[in-house]
Amino acid sequence: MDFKRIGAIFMRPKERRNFRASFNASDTECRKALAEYSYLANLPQLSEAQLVRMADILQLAETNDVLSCLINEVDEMTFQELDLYIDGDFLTHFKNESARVQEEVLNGHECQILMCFSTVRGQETVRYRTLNVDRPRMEMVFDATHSHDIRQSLNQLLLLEQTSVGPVYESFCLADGHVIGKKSPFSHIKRLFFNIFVEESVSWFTLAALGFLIGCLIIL
Amino acid sequence: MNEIRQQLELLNEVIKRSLSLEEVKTSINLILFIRRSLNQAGLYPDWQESEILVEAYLRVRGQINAGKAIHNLPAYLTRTSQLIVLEKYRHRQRHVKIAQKLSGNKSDDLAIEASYTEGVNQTTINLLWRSFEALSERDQRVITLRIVKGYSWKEIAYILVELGIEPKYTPALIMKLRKQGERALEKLRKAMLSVNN
Repeated sequence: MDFKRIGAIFMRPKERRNFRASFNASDTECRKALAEYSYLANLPQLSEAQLVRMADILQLAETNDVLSCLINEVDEMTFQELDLYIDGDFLTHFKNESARVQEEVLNGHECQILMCFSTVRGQETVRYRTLNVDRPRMEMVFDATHSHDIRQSLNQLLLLEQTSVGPVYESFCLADGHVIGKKSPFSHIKRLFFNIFVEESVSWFTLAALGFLIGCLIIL
Repeated sequence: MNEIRQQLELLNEVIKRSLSLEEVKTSINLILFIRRSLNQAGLYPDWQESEILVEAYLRVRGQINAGKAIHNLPAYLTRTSQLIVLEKYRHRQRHVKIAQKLSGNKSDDLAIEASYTEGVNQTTINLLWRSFEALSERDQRVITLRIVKGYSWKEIAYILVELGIEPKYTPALIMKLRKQGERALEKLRKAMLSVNN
């Protein structure tokens, strides 16, 4: 699909064209819907039919930007009438509820995992275009305290992109131990040398000294 | 796949913004919306705002992962929350009816289908509408991008540059847009409060 990058987000050209048109909705219908919504929002109690009607108006607002914006204003008005913004007890409750939601919503690390493949692609492009650039190193820490469902769905999302594991990466290990990506027959040996010389920072001199000592012991 | 990732990012942004007391004045307030809906359905305090919001978040995320394209994410999230409240309400009503059957009592459920426009202050609605129309096209655009689309101020700045409304992107533009958006919302809210008072 043809996407155009605008800052931090992507929008299709068609969406941008439609954006202007979304302001020209049917006034009468929207006013009627807004009046209904305002009435319902101010009622202390709602019946099932009224709750359904409210959901219908919200559905209408999804396709109408003006209605959606004005519904938000009607909501704000009711919140102010209920004194929710100045009620100290409610503000404490709001903070507690926010904290609970934050525990369940994906955090920064998890978002990074979702973004990792695109990052790898970007880094590879840079590497191919500019010489003498070190291989990008990718490290991800997954918070295992999160719920099993979130982790599973995240893994499924990653599995969908199996083919996008870059050629410079041998494999990609998911949180549940599942490994994505093909391995070459020599990958274990390469990985061993990589671990010894790069990860563990063992120098050639240390290895030579070790070999010499072992040789001396054998001779003696 | 790119689109899914962007929608997930936007979903997280919208949720985070609705949880921040600083940001909530210029974005959709989901916690308060859910609190009001729970009160109206008579489900509070048996159900808490966080439970409904997390369920709505998981459902919307599942739909995004399934490939559903959502155009106005904040509005969609709000409706999903409302539908969850409705489901809980129906569930409770079923239990109440069963309990009534078992105890042999007749239901006092009087479904009053009143006209929805009855009692609505039409002046308030007309004034709100006119106030929105009285805003400049630029203000309307900024408010819509922020509240309806759920974009951050930085993203709005990039969009305005892309549309040719702003000459170029600068860090000062973000502050300018933030102030502009807040002022436009203040104008709208002042007009409504003046009628109510």
